[in-house]
Amino acid sequence: MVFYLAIIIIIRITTTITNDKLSVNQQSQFSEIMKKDINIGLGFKKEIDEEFFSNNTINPDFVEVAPENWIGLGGYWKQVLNKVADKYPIITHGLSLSVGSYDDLDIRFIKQVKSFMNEYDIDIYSEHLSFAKTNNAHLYDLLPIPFREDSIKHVSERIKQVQDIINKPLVIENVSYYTSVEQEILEIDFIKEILHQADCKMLLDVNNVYVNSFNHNYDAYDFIKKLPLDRVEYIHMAGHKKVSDNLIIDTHGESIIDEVYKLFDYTTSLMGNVPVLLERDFNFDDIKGLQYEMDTMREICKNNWI
Amino acid sequence: MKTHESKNKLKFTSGKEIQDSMGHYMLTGDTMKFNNSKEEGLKAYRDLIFNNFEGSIETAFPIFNKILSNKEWELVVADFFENNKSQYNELWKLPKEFVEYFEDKKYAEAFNKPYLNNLLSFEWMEVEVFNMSDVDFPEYKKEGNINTDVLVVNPEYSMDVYDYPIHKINIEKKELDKIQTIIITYRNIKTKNAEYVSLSVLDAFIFEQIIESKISFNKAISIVEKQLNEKLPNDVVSVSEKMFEELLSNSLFLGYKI
Ligand SMILES: [Fe+2]
Repeated sequence: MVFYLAIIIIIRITTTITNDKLSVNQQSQFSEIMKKDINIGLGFKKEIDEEFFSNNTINPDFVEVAPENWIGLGGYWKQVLNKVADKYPIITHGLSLSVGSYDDLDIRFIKQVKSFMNEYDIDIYSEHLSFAKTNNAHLYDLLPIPFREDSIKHVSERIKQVQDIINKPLVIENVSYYTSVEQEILEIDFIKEILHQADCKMLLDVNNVYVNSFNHNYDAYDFIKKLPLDRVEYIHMAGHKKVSDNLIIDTHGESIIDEVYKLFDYTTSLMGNVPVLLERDFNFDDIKGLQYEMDTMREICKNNWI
Repeated sequence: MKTHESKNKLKFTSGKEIQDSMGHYMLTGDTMKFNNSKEEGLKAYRDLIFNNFEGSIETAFPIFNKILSNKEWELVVADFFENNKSQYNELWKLPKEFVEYFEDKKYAEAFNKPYLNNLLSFEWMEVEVFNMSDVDFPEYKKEGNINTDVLVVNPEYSMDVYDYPIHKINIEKKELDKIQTIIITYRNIKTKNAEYVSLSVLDAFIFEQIIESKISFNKAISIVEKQLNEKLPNDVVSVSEKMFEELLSNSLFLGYKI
């Protein structure tokens, strides 16, 4: 990976880019403070909270927090969150909204998220295109919605309902999945149709596209090319783990592999400048490695966007 | 990887049915046959979800985890995982439901460790007080006299009565005699850590007088004496006085009324 930057040029030559760069005229929700030339962020994690204030090892341009892990907290973590908000622009990236569920939306919770966003001057609420609740019980994981026509209609309606409450577009992320279930239509068509029907924004997780293309045997480049990239509000990048010959798990615990950087390079070459966020949920021994990953992404973005 | 053939598959008519069945499989492991699904993938989800449940319980209850045998731990965690209808959006609050579940299902009796309900409540209280929303502090001054000035309490605390001296639990001995115990868990104003203090019945009574009537230590003593209809021996009062001075320096009391 150390030589990654050097080989970008080779990738450039060998990757056939058929799309012209989109002339992006997006109405971004990001506040002006996010408008650096290139914005590379890092998920804020309690395990490494002090690193975000040391100025030595990591220097993200913005951070992302899961509202579920912060709403209503006082004491030590409230002080930390206040410090985070003083230093960084924040994005909320939810876990438990469960837009794909058939259980009623938790309106009280959505309103809590809204006031959390107001309190910390947060513009973005992103969530996963998945379900995390069934039979009136939280599962605390992101399960794949069956790719079916009835799901499209159902999910789109729910996204609209959320948007009505928060009074802004919800930003929906393509999730990684380890099996499809009762699939009737293609994943790409499923995602595109929901983005269209709900008229929401997209959080494009490039690593998830890679993971899914491996797990479900499709062409990641072709998938990216078919996405409505003008809806992308920001990008996620992360590491993953291959646990068997047929399965990659989206762990957020490993370094980003070159294949994913390559797909990221291709993706950014097709679209306009948006913020990019590195997700890391555990394995924090190598803090410098996180900054290296952010630097690598910044270089790729500069090449494509500046 | 094996893809299920159609012969054993269930017939689903809606996305809701499919998702409910997926959820059921995740929590129970009951074999489900879905069209176009991969067994390894389904199993991966079930494992990930279980690890989230188990991890949150293990983090909240480190002493409880050490007291239980492996067999007991596996039994109760698996039962909770399968049958709890988890209501919290926040994974960190899931252990609160575990406390209720454990008590409802009478596991403490089944494991012949009757203090376990208390232990779970005690360990949970530390998590809850550490995380609790900030409460506005009243105005107070640092300088004053404990005997004559009105004490101002740190509002970030919880006073709880236990059937066992649960703070004395020893992970080697795993036994406790039944003795009613009063514990205050509070958030230290400097470190923001949750700390606890065990109070005698007399000190708890004095504490309540101070909170309710907003009075000095001496006033509280005189109320207690009135209620008991006798004068407290000097050495008893001075032990309590020392205790309350300690509570002041530990920030369960913020200081004195201005
Ligand atoms: Fe992501």
